[in-house]
Amino acid sequence: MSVVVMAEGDVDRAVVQAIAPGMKVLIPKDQATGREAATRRAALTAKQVDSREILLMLDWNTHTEDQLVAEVTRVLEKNWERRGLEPTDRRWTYDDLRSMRLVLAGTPADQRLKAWGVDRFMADDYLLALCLRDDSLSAFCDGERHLTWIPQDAASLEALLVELAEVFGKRGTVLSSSKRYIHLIRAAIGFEASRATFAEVLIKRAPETARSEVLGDLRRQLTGS
Amino acid sequence: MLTGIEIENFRGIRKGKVDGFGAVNVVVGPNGSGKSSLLEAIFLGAAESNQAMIGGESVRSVLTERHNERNFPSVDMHYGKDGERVIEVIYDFEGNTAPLSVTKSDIGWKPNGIQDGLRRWFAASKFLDIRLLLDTAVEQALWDAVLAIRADRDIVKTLNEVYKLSIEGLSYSKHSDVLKVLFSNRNYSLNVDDLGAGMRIALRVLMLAMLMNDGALIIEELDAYQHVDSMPEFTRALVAMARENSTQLFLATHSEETIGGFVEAAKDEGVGFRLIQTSLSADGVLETASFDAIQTSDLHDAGVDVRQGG
Repeated sequence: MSVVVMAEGDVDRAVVQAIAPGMKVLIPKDQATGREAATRRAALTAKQVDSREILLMLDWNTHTEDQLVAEVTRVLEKNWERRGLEPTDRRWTYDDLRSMRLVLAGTPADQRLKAWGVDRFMADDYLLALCLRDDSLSAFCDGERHLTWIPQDAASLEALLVELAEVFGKRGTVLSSSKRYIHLIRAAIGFEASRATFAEVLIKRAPETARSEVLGDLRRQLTGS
Repeated sequence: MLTGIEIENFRGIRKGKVDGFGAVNVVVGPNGSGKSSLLEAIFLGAAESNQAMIGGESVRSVLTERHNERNFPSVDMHYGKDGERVIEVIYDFEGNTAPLSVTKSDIGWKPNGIQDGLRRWFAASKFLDIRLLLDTAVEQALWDAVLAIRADRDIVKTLNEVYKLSIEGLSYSKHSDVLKVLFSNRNYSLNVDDLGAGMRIALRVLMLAMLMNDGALIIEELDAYQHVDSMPEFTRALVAMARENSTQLFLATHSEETIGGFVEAAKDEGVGFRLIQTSLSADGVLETASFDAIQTSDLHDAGVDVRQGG
């Protein structure tokens, strides 16, 4: 049985599929979202008779690793009917064969995002980082000639975002997540498809250098190497 | 109610244990994963007293004929076809255990027999495999008992609901020794065997479920020949009858619609549901994982194919 990924939202799933196409990503049939639902479902998936390793991908959001590990442990203990579970390297063991490993999406150490007032970290952080690089931005725009506005370079896009953030800030709206910046970018360039599609196209078109530098850490978390 | 079972040396299972059976138990897994052996092991206790099951069919013949075996116990029942390996099955009924031993020449409850209540549970249990589901002898054997309690009316009502039919009644023809189906919108009757195989199977299952009292109704390939659209109503009717007659259901399936039907039916009827995934290792260790109705729905909604087990 190959590795199975349970992710929190559409963008997370699109990111995993774009950077690790060999992994089986579960696509929910309903609209249930959120950390608790994803964790509970990952716990149940890991319990299946022929399961091996389940990867649970959660956004960092505003939490610390300790907080997220504690929350995941609580949900696992309830669903695995166990007490005193202790993870090793973010991995919880159900038995000799079955386990669940936590993968955290987002870049909470990104000083630029923090300077912009971002305090909720998630998979969109990678998308924003790719948009703010000349190589990946131009690769994306080259394939999207129908866009209403094509940024000249990453610096001009960044300048626009900073300006828009100031305008929103003056009206009392803080852009506290890169998801909101991605909304602004999609609106500014006239990209009408979903954020998940935006993620898929952006990552697939990005040059390997950009993918490696921006998404290398996430890929290492996913593949465990 | 049977709550657990431990199995040693039976068919492909060298060793295995399942806990937490509910009122409705659906067994899933790939071919060769031990589903049928698990169902047969549950029914093996009924074979200790070689009673008749349905018509001329004895409990033991049900267990042997499906494998083309001539004797009971057969050497082929033993793990590795090694008659020297004693088959041991321990049934757990909410803390009361009943250990069964089967050697190559004998079967018996060891060491001190079995409580009367548990013996009655086994005596009441029935096993339907595809051979019996398609056998007209079932209604021939059950018709008088069905008529005695006028269960025919409920069967007609259920068949009409499940298959959107206009059946007015069922009648047994002594002359042709066949059950006749009378439609309100046709000027002639049909033999049961003129109906589609799915309807015939449903009729036999419903007749038996109506007549059950305690015990287990074990059905393999219940959904063979059933259209997916008929499964929700069919499973609902079956679970309702099983609840009324204090009968535990054990079923094996490869169908997602069947699993979904039983999950919803169990929720609606307020009875305990267990999905049991099976996996059999090359050296005969039966591994299982089980999920209740809410967990099964949760896994399905999460995009997991629960039939695969991983």
